[in-house]
Amino acid sequence: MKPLEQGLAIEVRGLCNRFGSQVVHEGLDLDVERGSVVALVGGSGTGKTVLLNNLIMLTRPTKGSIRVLGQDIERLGLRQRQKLQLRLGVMFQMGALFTSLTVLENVCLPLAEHTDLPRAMREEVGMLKIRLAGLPAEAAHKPPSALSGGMVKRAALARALALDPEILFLDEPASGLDPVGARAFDALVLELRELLGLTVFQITHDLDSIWHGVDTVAFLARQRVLAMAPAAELARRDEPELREYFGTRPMEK
Amino acid sequence: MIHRGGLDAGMPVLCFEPMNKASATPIAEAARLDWRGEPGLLTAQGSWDAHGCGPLARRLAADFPSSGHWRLDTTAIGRMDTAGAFLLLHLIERLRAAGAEIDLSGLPERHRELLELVQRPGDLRPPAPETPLNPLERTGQLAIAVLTHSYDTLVFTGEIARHAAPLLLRPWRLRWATVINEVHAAGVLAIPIVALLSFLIGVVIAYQAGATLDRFGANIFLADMVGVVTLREMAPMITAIVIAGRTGSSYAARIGTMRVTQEVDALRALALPPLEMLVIPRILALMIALPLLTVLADAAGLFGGLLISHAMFGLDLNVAFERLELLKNTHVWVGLIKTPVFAAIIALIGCHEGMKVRGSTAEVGQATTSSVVQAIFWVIVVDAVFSIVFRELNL
Repeated sequence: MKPLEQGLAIEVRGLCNRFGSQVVHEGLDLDVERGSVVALVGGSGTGKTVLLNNLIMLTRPTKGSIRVLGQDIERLGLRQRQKLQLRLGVMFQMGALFTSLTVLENVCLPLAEHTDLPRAMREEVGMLKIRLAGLPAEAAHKPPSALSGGMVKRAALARALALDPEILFLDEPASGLDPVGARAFDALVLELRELLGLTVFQITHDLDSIWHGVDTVAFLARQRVLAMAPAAELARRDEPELREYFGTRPMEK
Repeated sequence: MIHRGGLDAGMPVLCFEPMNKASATPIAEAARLDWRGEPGLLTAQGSWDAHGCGPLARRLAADFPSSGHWRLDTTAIGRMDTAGAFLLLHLIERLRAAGAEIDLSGLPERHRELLELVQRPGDLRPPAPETPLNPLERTGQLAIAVLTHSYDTLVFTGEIARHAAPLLLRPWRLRWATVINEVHAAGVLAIPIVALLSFLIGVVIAYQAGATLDRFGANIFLADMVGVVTLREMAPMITAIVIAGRTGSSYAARIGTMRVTQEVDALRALALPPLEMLVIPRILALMIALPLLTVLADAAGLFGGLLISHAMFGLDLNVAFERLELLKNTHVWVGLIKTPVFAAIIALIGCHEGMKVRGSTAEVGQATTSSVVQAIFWVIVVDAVFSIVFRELNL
């Protein structure tokens, strides 16, 4: 399914992030097309999570402009920002499921708080997301503490999808999953992109995902997005950081 | 398995409230379905997404047509998501069940795909939640929880003794750095609050006792009154209760969090027994800090009491000190000898509650609460036992 609107989902210009004397980003530019699946990669400490937190409006950058779904997030009032946040889905690295709620309640929480759908319909939508995320129906009433690591990821994905977001942010979806589970998760994300017309922006360290699970790779180095292209193209580039990152990899199938 | 925290399960941090609290200002235009326009044409309009579907979903039972042949046109819909697709699906099913024929051939591809998507997983009713226990089952579960808890505490105490005994024979193997840190955290940093509270308690005792003794002209006994009450009971108790709330809870929270983050497992895997690394140094530290704090509380309480006795009830301080001199050999020691026991109870309960945490952050909160409640309870019970024993011994 094609996204409804064309254009850029995320547009970052001249982004700077500094913490004291430590410069994380300096003049970072990034464009994410609507309907694309983009992986943000880079070594440890290159500020992947800092950038993600900027994009989902948890933290403000030191300088620079960020447009999400066409809106400049620096110019939004509180209400408008909350409205925009409802159009984004975020899956945190550790899942961040609310431990005092069951899986279904976790998924239904945004629906209950932000919509006026009747309860039966909220549960129907919640169950759909749980099933789409690949969880069995029996998991619905389990507390997060009774789930395995892979199931926590799936439940977190289901909650991120609760309000049918236009952009889905995933922070290391493959970490903690076995290779088979990680491939299945990649396939699931690509399928949901087709089904729901999502734009997907994920931080990942998983090389198989980078090669086969995404359209474009944004490579973070030297405080900015050093290169943005499909993995096969990045692997042919000459920058030392890219050669180091992709050099030890067998070539694409 | 026994439900953890059956004894004192706290309120969940986040409650799932089944009522609707949708935003006051609607985010989207409401979804509409119109059949009164062109004959034979059902037009869907508005936002068929999670934000716009509520009103229409609530009046599914409204007077929609129940017969005839209708062509559904959804091209005017602004945005449709899975919630909208569910709504459309239910409307179509309802109309068909009522006898109307619905022609879906005019649906845009995107809407048809969404309709297929929401039908794909089949039955989407959430499975029935587990039936809550009946009162008898709950009583039984509670009884088992109480028994298990007592047994666990006994086992934990035994394990501590087993680990502590060899350490006490070879004290250089103790983690003295941890002990000193904990004495600082539990003792030095608690000085202001313990001193202030004891001072105030001394003031209150002198006020209350003074009012009565004054009527009998027995002001001279104010020194005895303040001295005995403060040294024997009040200073040790107040200090123990403050420390139970301040330090016992922090032990439970700290060790509980370390269990959630698997730090305790990591210690174990590195062949560093958590009891030796975390628990025994804390128990020891509190057994050092609490008697010292109690001495401070004695001093602060006496100061407050004598201040009021002197200022309000004209007690001569020289006489007062003479009388207090007589108390020191028994009452001071009777008060102080209890404090290492209180300290051991507080630290043991705090550490045990922390070590009992399994996995979830909610349990850390429960463990913290439970540690304070239990520690204060047992401090008071043990204090009562001490009183009886000392009375029997004529101390």
